Amino acid sequence: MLINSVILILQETLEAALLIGVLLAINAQLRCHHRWLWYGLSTGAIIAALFALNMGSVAEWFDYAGQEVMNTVMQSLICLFLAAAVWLVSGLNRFQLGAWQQYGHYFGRLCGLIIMLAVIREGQEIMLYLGGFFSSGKHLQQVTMGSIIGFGIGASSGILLFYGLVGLPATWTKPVSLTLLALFAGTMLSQSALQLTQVDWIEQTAPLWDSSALLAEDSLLGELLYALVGYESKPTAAQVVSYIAGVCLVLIAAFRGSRYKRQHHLKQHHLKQQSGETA
Amino acid sequence: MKAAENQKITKRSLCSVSVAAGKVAAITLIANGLLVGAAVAAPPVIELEIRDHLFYPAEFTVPADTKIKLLIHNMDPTPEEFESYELNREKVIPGNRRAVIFIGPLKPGTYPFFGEFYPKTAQGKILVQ
Repeated sequence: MLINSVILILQETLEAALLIGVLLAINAQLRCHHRWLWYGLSTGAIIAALFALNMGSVAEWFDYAGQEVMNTVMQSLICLFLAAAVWLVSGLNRFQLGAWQQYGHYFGRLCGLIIMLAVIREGQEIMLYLGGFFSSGKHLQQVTMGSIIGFGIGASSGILLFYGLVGLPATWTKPVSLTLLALFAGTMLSQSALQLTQVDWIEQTAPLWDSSALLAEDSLLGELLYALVGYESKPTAAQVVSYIAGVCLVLIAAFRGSRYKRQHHLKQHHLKQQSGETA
Repeated sequence: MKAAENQKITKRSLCSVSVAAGKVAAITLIANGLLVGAAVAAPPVIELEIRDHLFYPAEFTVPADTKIKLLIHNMDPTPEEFESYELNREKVIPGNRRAVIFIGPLKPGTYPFFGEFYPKTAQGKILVQ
């Protein structure tokens, strides 16, 4: 039971921990405050508990597609919020931040929402899992130990990623972080396509490829890549299309965001010059 | 004054980003819609039970190239998670509740599944012929 709990809790924690690591790395480079982290974590945990307590009825919504529909809504929102957050910080560096203060604020709020959603998604399953053992009272000690270890490894991975990103040469931190966020957004949409396939809202088609012999999803590297970039060994067309759409959405937001700031910066520069001339 | 201006700009630009996001989302929805076939006959239903962290039946046969509706009753008071890497399926089933999972059409072969919360005992496989 010990090993099972370690693996299960690690699987659930890893994705959220890595996402938080990336968002914090961007935040650290911009030197914004990180109050949003705590708001996101705490509200996420509370809502996750409410979901876990009512999972029985939620699961029966939409003719037993309730869980999948809720997950799809949350995953799509994460994808949209990520695109908006990336738009805000693209083309922005900490030297300009004084003039672009509002961007930092909005970025923080969006990060809070993204983390809240990520915690709800993963937290409800952890709470259901642990709730089962607490109510039955069996294997309690092993499960508690395993969960602490699993959570510890997951959280450490996020911290490791954070320091890895911050430790990169300064010009690299943001492009790499934004790329990871784009892949994460793709993962979210791809997972939601799979969720809807599971309840027959999207037709199941034959997998586009099968790389399970090359890299199994339940192997250590497979699990890590699943959490980091959404690796699937047997994805369907709907998953691949959704993945690409999610990645493109964030990349477009990144390009648009930096172009907008460049143009706006130039405009302000011209205005300043003009006012200087008239004076 | 400047802060207010900036705020206005941010709001306007957030609008433009959400429009772009909407476009991409719409494209995805259409693409997904194309993949949604018209539902023909209702797929055959196979009922499974979870009792004392075991699946009943733990092994069953389904026809190849057919969509199947699994109706899983969790008779235990504790939740369980139906999971299969081979089927690419994962779903939590709260205690004393039921869940529906669609699988297939599948190629002939053996597709193992397990209960992620009690993986030692809750194991089974689907034979596709």
